[in-house]
Amino acid sequence: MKRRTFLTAGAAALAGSVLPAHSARAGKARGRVVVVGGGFGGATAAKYVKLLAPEVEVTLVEQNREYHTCPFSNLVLGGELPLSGVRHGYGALSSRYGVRVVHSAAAQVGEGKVVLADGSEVAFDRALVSPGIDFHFDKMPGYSAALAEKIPHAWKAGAQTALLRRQLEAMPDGGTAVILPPANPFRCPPGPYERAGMFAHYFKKAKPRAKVLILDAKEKFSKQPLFEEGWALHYGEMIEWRSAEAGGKAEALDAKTMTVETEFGEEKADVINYIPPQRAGQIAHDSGLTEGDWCPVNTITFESTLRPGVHVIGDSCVAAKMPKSGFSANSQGKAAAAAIVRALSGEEPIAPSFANTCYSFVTPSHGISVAAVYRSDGKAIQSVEGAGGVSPKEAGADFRRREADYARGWYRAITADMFY
Amino acid sequence: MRDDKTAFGGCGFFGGFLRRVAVAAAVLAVCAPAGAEGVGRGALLSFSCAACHAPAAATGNGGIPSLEGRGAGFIAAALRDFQSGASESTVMGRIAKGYDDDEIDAIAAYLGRKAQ
Ligand SMILES: Cc1cc2nc3c(=O)[nH]c(=O)nc-3n(C[C@H](O)[C@H](O)[C@H](O)COP(=O)(O)OP(=O)(O)OC[C@H]3O[C@@H](n4cnc5c(N)ncnc54)[C@H](O)[C@@H]3O)c2cc1C
Repeated sequence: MKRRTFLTAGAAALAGSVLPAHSARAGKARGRVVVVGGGFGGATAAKYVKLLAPEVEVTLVEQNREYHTCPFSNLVLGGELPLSGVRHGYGALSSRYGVRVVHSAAAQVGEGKVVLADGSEVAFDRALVSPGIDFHFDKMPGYSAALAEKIPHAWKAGAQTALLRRQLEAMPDGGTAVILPPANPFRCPPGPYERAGMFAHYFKKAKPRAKVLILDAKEKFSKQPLFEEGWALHYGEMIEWRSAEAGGKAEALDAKTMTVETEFGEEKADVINYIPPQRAGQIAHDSGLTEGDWCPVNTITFESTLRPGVHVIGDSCVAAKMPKSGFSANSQGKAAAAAIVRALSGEEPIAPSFANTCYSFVTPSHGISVAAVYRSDGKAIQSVEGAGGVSPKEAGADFRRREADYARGWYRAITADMFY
Repeated sequence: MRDDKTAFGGCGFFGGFLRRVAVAAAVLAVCAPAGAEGVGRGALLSFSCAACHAPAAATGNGGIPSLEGRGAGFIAAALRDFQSGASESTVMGRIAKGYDDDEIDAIAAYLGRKAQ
């Protein structure tokens, strides 16, 4: 890249840029920040601390060398994208932004230091933890962590996504794929229903007699009227949803016979996608950051209410009413980065605002969304009244196509904001 | 770039836009001139915008416009038009309603800070 090209691109890039100028930094901020987990929350936070305060040393501890986004992984299941289409690397975070990236599992966040799996330590003045979710593997009779190799959750993207895709490909025409979504709260409330549409999208082309059966632990779900409208329009009877009360609640799984037991009888399946109930990532439990399943935080700074100096963001933290989404984690990552930089400069925190838009695909060209703007009232995060909401019903094909296009635009923008 | 197997490096899903993002992002990170706002309110209100509005080099057929080069006046007017419904939109109307007049001005001033 020639220097002149850089400068031209730079000049164009300055105005209207959402990225903070280096000048926006708090000049006095000094210190060491360790971020655990390089996903939607952690990658964003690591980058923004460096942008806001280049003098601060930032170390990102991430166990994997590559990150697969859950967003758009349902398109992989639907055969619309290769797995590489949701894969990202950490190279730019280190080479372009000066984040020190350490690929290792973190064992624990100790006092003033993060202890890595091999026993080595990374010292910090402030830590930020964004480890995502882990599962309760023991809540469903007949299921176990080991059985995830036969009954994939695909609720962390990567090998699990590839496995579930292979199972769909191997399924006979006329077969049934069962999806078992968990009760609230869980990662990505509309995710299981987007997934049902992507299964059906693939079946419609490759196995037109196949069925998608959703046996739900809930009575209703996110964007339900919009999903149901879209399913009827594109897939007719192919997708069936049963609420918990209507016999949807699964009571046991049998991996040998591939059956799901419900109150109303047994369902035979060719593919079972059981999405177990969830909790904060294991390291949060091992580091004294949890109360029950999740991590309580100050909703302005995302500092743990249990451990001063340690911030928790993303799926692991309690940020209701924000949903557990990648967009939320990204939004919280920036707020926490600003709070950390201000704290390191000896400044008082200022209240951030957050946004979330969750796009879902019904088909690759039929998108729907739910959006909201959020503020913290100091205790909890509230959605701003009169704003937000879901896409209109009966909006027409053009509106749906635009939202599908915007979903792709969102994916590019947010992954650029995290990684590039 | 580092890795041909990543989404933007090799598979062609999003074309080879990474290289262009890289340039814009690197320049932003190292060359942006001084401003006075600190890690302030305008910045905190505006950070969410970047989740959908990418640097110009990173926007593609998705159709979400970049905000690069837009001045404060343009951004404030656009937000108010989305809010009132004067501009038709899919999602921006729902989002713009989440900000009051004063906040719209703070967002516009921050995003438009280099255009004056
Ligand atoms: C099918 C599906 C579709 C989705 N679609 C959308 C969508 O369209 N839009 C949206 O906004 N959200 C979506 N989501 C939700 C989104 O993926 C999550 O909300 C988001 O990933 C949460 O970010 P996080 O930083 O909390 O966790 P993650 O992104 O999961 O990141 C956690 C990281 O921490 C690392 N880690 C964990 N423990 C350790 C440790 N001890 N040491 C080192 N590293 C560790 C992990 O390897 C991982 O890289 C979807 C989710 C699913 C399952």
